[in-house]
Amino acid sequence: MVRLMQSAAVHHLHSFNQFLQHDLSSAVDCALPHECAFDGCHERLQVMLQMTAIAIDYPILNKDPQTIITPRECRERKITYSAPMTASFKCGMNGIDDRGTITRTAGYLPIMVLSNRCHLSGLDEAGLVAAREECDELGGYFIINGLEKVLRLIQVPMRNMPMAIQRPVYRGRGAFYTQYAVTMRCARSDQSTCTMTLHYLSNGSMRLRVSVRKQDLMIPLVVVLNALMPDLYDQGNFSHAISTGTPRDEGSKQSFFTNQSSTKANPLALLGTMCASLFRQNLPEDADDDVFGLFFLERYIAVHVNSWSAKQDVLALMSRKLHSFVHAKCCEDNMDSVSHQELLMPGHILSAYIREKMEDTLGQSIAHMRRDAKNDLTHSSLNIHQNILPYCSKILGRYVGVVGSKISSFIASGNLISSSGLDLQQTTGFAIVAERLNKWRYLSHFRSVHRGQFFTTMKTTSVRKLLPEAWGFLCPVHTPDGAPCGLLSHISAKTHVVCNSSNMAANTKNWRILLIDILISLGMLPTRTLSLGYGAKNGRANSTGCTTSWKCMSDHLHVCLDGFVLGSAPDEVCANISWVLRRLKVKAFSAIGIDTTLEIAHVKQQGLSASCPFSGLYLFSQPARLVRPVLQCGLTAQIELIGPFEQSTLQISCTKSGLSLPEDNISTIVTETHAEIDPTVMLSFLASLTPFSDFNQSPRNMYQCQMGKQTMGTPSHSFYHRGDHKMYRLLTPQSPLVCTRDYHNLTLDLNAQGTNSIVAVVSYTGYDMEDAMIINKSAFERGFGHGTVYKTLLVDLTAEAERRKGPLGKTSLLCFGNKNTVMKPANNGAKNTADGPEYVAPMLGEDGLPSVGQKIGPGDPLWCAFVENCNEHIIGAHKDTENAYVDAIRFLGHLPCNENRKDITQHRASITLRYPRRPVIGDKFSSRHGQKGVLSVLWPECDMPFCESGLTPDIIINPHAFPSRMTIGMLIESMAGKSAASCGRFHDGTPFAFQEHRKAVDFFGSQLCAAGYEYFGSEPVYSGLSGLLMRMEIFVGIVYYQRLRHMVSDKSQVRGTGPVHPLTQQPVKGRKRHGGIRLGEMERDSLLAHGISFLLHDRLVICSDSHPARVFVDTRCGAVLALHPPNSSGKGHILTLASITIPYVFRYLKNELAGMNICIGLFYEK
Amino acid sequence: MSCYSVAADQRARRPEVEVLSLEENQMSFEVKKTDASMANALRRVIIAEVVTMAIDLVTFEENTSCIDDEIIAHRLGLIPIKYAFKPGKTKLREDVSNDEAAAMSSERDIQRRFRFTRDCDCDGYCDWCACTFKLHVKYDEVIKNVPEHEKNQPYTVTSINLESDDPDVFPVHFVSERERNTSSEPGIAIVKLAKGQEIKLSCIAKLGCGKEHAKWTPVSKCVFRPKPTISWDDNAVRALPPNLRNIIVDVCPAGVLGYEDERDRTSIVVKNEAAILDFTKDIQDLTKQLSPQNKPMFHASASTTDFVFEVESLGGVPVDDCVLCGLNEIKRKLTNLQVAVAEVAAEQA
Repeated sequence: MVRLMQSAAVHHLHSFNQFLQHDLSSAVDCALPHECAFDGCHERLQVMLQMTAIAIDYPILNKDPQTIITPRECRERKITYSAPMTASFKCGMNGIDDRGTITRTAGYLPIMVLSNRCHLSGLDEAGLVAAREECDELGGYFIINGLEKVLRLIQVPMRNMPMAIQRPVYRGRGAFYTQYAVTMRCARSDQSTCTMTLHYLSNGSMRLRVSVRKQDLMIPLVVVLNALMPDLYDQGNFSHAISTGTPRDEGSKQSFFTNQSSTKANPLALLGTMCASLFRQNLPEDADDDVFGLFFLERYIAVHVNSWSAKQDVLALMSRKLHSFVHAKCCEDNMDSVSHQELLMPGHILSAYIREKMEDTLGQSIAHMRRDAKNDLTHSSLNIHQNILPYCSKILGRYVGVVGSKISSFIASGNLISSSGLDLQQTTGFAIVAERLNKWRYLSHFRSVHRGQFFTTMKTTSVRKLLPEAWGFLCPVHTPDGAPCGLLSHISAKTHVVCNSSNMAANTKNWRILLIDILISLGMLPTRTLSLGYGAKNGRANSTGCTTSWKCMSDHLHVCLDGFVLGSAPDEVCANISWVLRRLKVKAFSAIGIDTTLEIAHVKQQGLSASCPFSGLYLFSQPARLVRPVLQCGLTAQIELIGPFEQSTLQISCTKSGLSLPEDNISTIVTETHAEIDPTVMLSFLASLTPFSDFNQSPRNMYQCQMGKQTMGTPSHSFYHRGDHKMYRLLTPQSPLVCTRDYHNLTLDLNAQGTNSIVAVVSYTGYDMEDAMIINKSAFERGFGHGTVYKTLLVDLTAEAERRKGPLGKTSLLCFGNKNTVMKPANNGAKNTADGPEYVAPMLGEDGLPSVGQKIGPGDPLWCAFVENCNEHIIGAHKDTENAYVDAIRFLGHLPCNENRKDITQHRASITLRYPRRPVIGDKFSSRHGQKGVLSVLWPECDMPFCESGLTPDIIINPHAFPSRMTIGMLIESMAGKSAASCGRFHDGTPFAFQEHRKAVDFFGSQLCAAGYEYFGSEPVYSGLSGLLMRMEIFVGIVYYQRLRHMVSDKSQVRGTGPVHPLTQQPVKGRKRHGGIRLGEMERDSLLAHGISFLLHDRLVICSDSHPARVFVDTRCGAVLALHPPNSSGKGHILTLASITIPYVFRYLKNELAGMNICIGLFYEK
Repeated sequence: MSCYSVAADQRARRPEVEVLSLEENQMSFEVKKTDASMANALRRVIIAEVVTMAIDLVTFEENTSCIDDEIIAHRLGLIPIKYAFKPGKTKLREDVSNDEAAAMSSERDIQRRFRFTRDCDCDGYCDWCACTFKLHVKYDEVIKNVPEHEKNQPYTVTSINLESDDPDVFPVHFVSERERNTSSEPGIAIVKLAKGQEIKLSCIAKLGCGKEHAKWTPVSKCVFRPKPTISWDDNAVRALPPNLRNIIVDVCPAGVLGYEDERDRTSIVVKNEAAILDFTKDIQDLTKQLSPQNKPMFHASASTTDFVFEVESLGGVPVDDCVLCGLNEIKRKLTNLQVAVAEVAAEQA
């Protein structure tokens, strides 16, 4: 059985593997050729460059295939885990396509850990441990400069599906434009996409909008159709095809055709003139408009199909949908709903990005050649004529080598630098760091799905809504509160993402043909001779074939497979087809060859109104779709994978037994087609870890999802082999007494992050007010909640030397070392100790670094380096205010592919420091039910209340934490934990396991009773101070408590005096700079309201920028005195000066104003 | 001033202690004729102020194990340390005055052998205020002695590897014989070593008490509860049909109520006095319902003068010594108070 844990990141891995195996070669096929013409002396030369292959190797170090590099090494050395990539190009001349192949290295491509190109691929647990990885390593991320980076999954519109949308802004696009449009995101075989939008114009015509290199082309639909099918006029039937055939459409149909009366005889050429300027680089300079038009049609119109006739059908379908939408015969498709979305997978964006970068390379090379041709005509043409290959190779080599580093920087920064925008709505935020704060947080990085950076700034909240379509696919619980709420969600535990275009494609190559055969045999009328239509490029089809197809359309639904219009069938036939296909697609019939992930959505014809979706039978087999398992109702319950679009056409009952309605309601029961496997399938990994979450108020479960990710736990088992910037570790992790089924399925016990603690709910000392909690001092002293923080700092002497360039005058070479070179040993060997200490920093070793295990206090030297050939030393001090222990020290070697730095192997070191963090007052703890609190006091054991068994609680929380928050799950966990401890076993807290007739309270209450406790878990408790029995029985039980990473020692900020801003003399801000905390306007207001103006004066003047100044009293000006007191001897007037205290900024203001010739005077009264 | 002592004398209670059970590491006793404050004082003193010894300072020479120094030091601190007085052999402190000696209960009292480090004249620590332990385990050496089938396993360093330099002071490996017989380890686990790892350290154990740090607490459990006074209306119970008697027994969790004679099943007795007060109301309500006179057949109330203690030792100090030391501590405190009061009185007079 594949462990659920390993499946957490499997969609990232599969996507990258698919990218390596399939998408990359498709990208090469899809890449545009680039051409250039030279005017030679004798003849005109046409040079054509086209990419033919990209090869990716295994990660190596230093261009030496022998020295493999492992992910562990990259993490520790802070380098990129990447493999060499080589690209091959085909060079053609004068129409001869293939004059030879040029192969150039294209830099280093970052490799996803555990993918097929990773050295760890295929290792078992022992192998992974031997490679210094986690035994349950997930993979699915890249290592860039030592950081683990994950490419974010982004929700994008579903591919190959025409969608009706309504946007008021469209009216502003020009005359006659309406708000109606149908948009379709067409995907090429390399998974790059191109969106076409068909706009409706109020005069009845339609415009097709296509974006080419971020430029919108608006082309009348009729021009495109004419170009695809020049003899459209003869095809009276075709007008049927594009409209819905109702009388109302007739007018628009008229105008549709009259509008195009202006079209020239050659629509292709017309199209060509519209887009020629965009493709100059790709085509010969002297290509005519026809060629441009063809180029455009092939590469930008309905790119998911290849044949012209299929493209026509797609456009016809779009216009049909647009017509019915405009005439309120179908509803708008909600682009914010998951049912109309798919995910942008890492492999897909990489292949599209690599293709674009390679095309850019070719474009630059061609531009270079054109420059050459212009500048040095004879020479270059001679050159070219003789040896075209070396010439092209030289030019390509100049540009192609940086592709790898561009990909690296894309993954490192998440910023997409693209000329086309890759059909995406955002240019930033594609990559995130997979923080290993704890396992839970780490896991959820791979499961998170983002709606898109574009929507974060949106004022409306409609995109953030939790829609019913997302049921089962996106977790309703696990989304952060605050800014990213609803935009960043997580896929549910059982959901996975389809990554290969067809799972069964390997077995049965022509499964599409098989599928079409099945469809036809079931009664579908095919559009045309389908065997020719799909897949093969047959250029401009002879259009006579289409006459038969659209005859009987009015009551037929169209049948689409991945956006390819296969044919049409009546509604009942479609229902039958989907019924049959649904039974064939399950695993039991996999031999037949229907893809198990095939999405079959039969949108029924429910009448033509504005509330019904556009009917049809849609089949989807392509990757990037979410699928989840449900049970198929039938004789045998088979597990079927369904997609979100498909889901909205199905009837799925929540329980296996179906809907249990009262008998008198039996007529209203909807006959369900499917049933959920388990009620918890809607939850994400993290949400399913909260025990008894079904008893809690829902926001509390959301808070727990956030806090679970901030908990100190066991992030890794290979601490020593990692150099993460900051890591948190709990020293007393325990397996929770009460946990859910998924906790075990995910094997999260390996990375436990909490402690079972005895919790009493009582208001005991007053220290437990306002969510504060009391911890038993003895429990604390025995190790409760103890943790460690690991911080790694990188010492790069090269950078250090660069930084200290000023004082040293020049960049000098720095080396680690500690020897005091002033003191030279005497020649006879006896050391002359009188000259000074032997070492510059006596606490450090001879190598200028501390020893492992050494204690480092605030300000202590951490490393020491000397400037080569002179006795100048640089000592790096420990900057924190806490004691730390040296955990590990590593010398980091030079970077790969940088041979000239070979000599400086010992110029980079990383020092890992260990900070013991025992709980202190103010540290944050929480249970698993969104109940967080801070430690307010460590209370001595003898003063704690005690039960009759002599037990004292570890934690005391206040009963007021419960009524308003309604976290009943925590109360039940407390009872269950107590029962688990007394029965000696672990209890299952999976949500939805208990029902009205089998109550959780009764289940655990009876167990408590059997163990000699009271039924509801309360106990008589004696006060530890008086020894008297408390009047009420106290609820005592065992709750799993988490220690959160927010610790006082990271946050405490205090200053009496300290650094001030040089200009204003006011205290600086920032904890790191030992600054102050701002006492702002609102704080000022509250002090004023209290009437405590002296305190206010103290805060705002005396503790801030109090400044003694002198002011002229007798003169009328009352000016605040300048630097030199005015000489009073000349005048008869006697100057009196008074000493006042003003804020320094006031004086600064006065000076600034004086610069503008404005004087400020103060009235002074004694 | 004189009336003060007279009044105290007249009202003075004469508390009595009756030991109910005394086992290897736990005991139960009854304190009679006192009140909750005294009982609680005894409880608090046993937990927080009985002087014991625990490792307080650890010097690492070598630690190549996977556990960090500070965690090992913390674990070492929590190991109970036992002081065993050997008559004739153990050298006792010479500076112990007669008064102090009187205050100290027995020969086994650790304070007759050791001083608090803070009270000692020495520089740092000495034999009179501290005891040194050494721990040196090298995996590659110890593994030679283990059976062949365990050779690939990591070696667990336990408290038995701690070597004391004082024959009277040694770590406790188990709280009881029973635990020793059931344990899979030879002592308290400290750290596990893998191949090539080594640990070498020395520890200083010092005197301390529970209110400084939990490692000096001698007991794992010290609790008291008021003794319940129980009365049954036996005749009424006997008059009930057997099935109703069963209902009465079942109203409490198992083991609280039972029959005096399992075969006879006529009279109900309280089997667990400790818990009975929690269920008194339940039993009363039920018996009141069952009674023809509408009168409860059961009465139980908490005594305000008699208390039952249960103490469980961690092994460092014998459980009876814990109690005796606790009582002595109270005595010492009261003496101090008495002296202080007398001083104040003298000053005022």
